[in-house]
Amino acid sequence: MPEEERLGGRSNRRKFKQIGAALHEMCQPLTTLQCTLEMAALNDTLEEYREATETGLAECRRLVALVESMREVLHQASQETEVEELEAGR
Amino acid sequence: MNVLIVEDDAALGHFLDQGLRLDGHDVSLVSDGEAALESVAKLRPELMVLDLGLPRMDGIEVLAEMQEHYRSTSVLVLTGRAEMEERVKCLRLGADDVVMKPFSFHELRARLQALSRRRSQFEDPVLRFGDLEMDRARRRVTQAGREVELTATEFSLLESLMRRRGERVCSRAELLREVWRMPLGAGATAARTSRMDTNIVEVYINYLRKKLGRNPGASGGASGGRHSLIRTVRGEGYLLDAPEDHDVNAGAGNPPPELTAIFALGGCAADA
Repeated sequence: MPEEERLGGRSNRRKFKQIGAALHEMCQPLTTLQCTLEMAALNDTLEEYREATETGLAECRRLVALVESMREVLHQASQETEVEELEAGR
Repeated sequence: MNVLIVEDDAALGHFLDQGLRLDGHDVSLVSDGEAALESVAKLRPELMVLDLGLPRMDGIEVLAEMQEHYRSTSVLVLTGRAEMEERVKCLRLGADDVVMKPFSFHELRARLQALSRRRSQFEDPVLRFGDLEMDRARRRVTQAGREVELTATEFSLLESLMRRRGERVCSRAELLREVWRMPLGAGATAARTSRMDTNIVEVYINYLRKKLGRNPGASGGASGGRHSLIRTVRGEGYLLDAPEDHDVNAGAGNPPPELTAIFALGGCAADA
């Protein structure tokens, strides 16, 4: 296998791993958010709704932070791909 | 059911703890693998809800230990990893079910109910405690070989207590759910009905006490058989009391202060 292809494969594996890890991280707040809203729908007091809203918002913030870090990973990956393509075309 | 949750994510752990309590389960929560095994040894839960990514000891290692030492506990695994190989590995290691995150709480509930149904199918139809024997298939109870006539409600109540074999206190919430099929609503609804519900439990516990009489283990002591077979645990619920425990108390000449207080108030003092 040519050196460039081998390096490209390794780079892709690293990207997949990072994206996989980020998706795994996102599962925690998503689960809490989904379950909290499901339970809130069964509740009947304002206090319980308020508590569910606060938990939901906290989990949304966690999700936003994770989306930001995924964007960062994708941005880096796209830059690396551009460089690799430029080098391959040279 | 007596459920142990093992989840290191504080928010999700807290939510699961609250959600399963509202469903009437007796819940404990720990956040790492080593604490999980310590709790299993101490509490002997009927069910463990186990997250895989744990500090101190990975969920897979916990699962292997469970398979080796605590097979009577059913394990439901929670995982955020999508790989099929991992789910297969968990099932091969003894997990009873695997749920992928993110999941719906309704689905988790339904799966726990399914596990509970499966567990009850494999239980011995005959329950025994001391000289008490309950044949659930024939709906028959005997005490020291003598048949005890029970109503359907009394039978269910005694069954709930006997299933815990005197090892674990049976809370009023559990009894209301198991015997009276009372759905335990959230928050204010539960608070409104709790006083009336507690009275129902007390009344039937007293009926059972009268029919089952005294614990034979206590009869030889200085307290002269004053102990009931069903013990009230203050602020917690009820427990079948083993004759061996009474032998210890009888040897000392007096029942423990907690029991003295209970009997002074006719066996219902713990329900305040």
